[in-house]
Amino acid sequence: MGPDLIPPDVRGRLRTLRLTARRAADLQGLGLHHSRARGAGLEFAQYRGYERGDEPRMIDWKLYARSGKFFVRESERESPLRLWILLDASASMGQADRAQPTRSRLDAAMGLAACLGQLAMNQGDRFGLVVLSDAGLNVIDAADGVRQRDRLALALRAVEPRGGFPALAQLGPLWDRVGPSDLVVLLSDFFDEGTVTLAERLAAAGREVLAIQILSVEERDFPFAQGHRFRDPETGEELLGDGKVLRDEFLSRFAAAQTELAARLEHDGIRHARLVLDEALDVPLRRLFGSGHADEYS
Amino acid sequence: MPGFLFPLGLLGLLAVVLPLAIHLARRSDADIIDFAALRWLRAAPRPRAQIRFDEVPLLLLRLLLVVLLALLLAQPIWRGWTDRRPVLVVFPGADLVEARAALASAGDARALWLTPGFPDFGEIAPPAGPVSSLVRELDSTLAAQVPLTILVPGVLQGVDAELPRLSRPVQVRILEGAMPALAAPVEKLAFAARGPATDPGLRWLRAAATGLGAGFDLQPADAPMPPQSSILLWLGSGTPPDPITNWVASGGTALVMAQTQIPAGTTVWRDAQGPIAEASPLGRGRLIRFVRPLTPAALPALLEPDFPQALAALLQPPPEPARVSAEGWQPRTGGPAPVLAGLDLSGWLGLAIALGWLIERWVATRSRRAARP
Repeated sequence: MGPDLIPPDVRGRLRTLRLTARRAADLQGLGLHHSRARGAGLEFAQYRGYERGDEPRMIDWKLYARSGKFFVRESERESPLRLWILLDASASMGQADRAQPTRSRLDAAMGLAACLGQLAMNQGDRFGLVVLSDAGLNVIDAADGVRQRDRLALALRAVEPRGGFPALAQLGPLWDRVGPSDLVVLLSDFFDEGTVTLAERLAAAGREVLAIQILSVEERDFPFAQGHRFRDPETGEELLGDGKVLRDEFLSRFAAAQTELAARLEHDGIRHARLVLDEALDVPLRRLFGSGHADEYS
Repeated sequence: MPGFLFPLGLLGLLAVVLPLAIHLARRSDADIIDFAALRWLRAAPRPRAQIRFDEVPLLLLRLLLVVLLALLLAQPIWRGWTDRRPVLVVFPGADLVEARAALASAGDARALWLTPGFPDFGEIAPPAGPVSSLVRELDSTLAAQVPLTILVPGVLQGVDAELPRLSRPVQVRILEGAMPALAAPVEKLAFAARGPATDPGLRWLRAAATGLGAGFDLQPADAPMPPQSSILLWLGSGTPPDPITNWVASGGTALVMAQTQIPAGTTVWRDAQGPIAEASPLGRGRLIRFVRPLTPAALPALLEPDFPQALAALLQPPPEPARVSAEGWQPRTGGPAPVLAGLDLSGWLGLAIALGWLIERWVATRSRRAARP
């Protein structure tokens, strides 16, 4: 994981992407999200003192002329799009390929979360983060702007893969915050039943859910030829096995499980994409938000 | 038809478990891999006891090496194989020119020296050995019905007392030349007397030693023991002390007087009046005891002029006659049929093992090879 969560080439390609929500497309009007109130300062809310990082154009210059101090006009943002990034931080997310042990599933998930935050920030949408772990949820409330992006990056860097996926009873804070028409992106390996159940419930409760499944190269290709001791990082169970013997059986069963997962997600109207660790971060994003994708659902 | 001289050596085949054990895929210490998708892995039922091996080609090579080594231990031979060519064997000392002429007229015959190991006939005669024994050995190593011709010089050296009894009729051809005489190793006698110098027999024995030109060394009874090549004269009475018996038991020869008490032995020297000396073995050595006191009255032989020679013959038997005229030396037939061993395959097997070992090393130390057993 470098100093920047988003690789430079991916950052370049992100410019061509736009976060789009299916439901937002239902609303009639102009603009990307068909907001009733677009742009900063349309619906005046309050003045506040200038802080470093505020854009100069936000400064109310007439008020400066009167008072000699910088004030910033704040307005109610009524963009209908609010993005929630749900990051699975269970122990299985710490898995990395032997070929590239420094790039774990969680690293990819953090990169994806940073990309999503960047996209949301670019188009002025609010975005928040919920780190899902059975040790407790870590929630960054939704907000917009550069500072929120930095808050997101800071929170992401503190994430450690540990424990299992939280039980449904632990997810109360999530339901308090995720609004009815919010866009929810769930970053996980979707191996845990709880992850899929959460996605299904969110979808059933009217949230638009996007699922990005992150798989390791070893899960896709199973490149083991020798005998190994396979260990489940969450349960600690171990299985001695020979790679050659296990390969065909595993690949067919795993593919069947993926197909079943895809079918379940499709059934609940959850858009989903897959990222394998040797692919670029923006592959699932382009699959979900690439040109025309929003429209083809409307 | 291959066979083994020492089939027990095939027990070495049990050693094949060593490379098998080395190459057994060690699953207990297999590296641990985090694998979150374990449930789809576990769903494949599979017998755990399946045995697998790493690096099968190298394993096969090593197994082959072990098998070859076990075969080598078992001393493989090829039983059916015999050399049917007639054999000419040349005694060392036979005239080379005549021998070559005989060989030329014998066609495809094999020519050998009659010396230990039976080297091929050549210009330089190897040193001769006990020829009677060698002729018997050669007869037993040749296949039946292989004609054997012996080229001998006029006088044979190193034969033993019996004409060889062989399994086949042998043609003996007498050539010019003379065999080198086998030098019989004759060591000079040396006497080492231990005990009181008052013994009356001492002067007779000293005189005999002088007559033989042998050394004579008189020391007290508790003096250090002489070297094993000396003849120990023990002049004391009663039972010999432990140092004496130990010295004899480790290979020495001791002469004791009539008053010394030792176990009764067999008579080895007698005259008209009865036994003079008897000998009894002790360990690897020999104890010889005069049964009569060494006085001219009791032992008139002391006065005979050949007493020293008789004493020397008793202590150091003369070499047996080993010279015979070739005229009367004709091996007889009727000996046991040769138990033919066959062609010894050990050399070729050893070559194959060396080659296999080189290949094994090459395969095992390739740089492309992973860090494995």
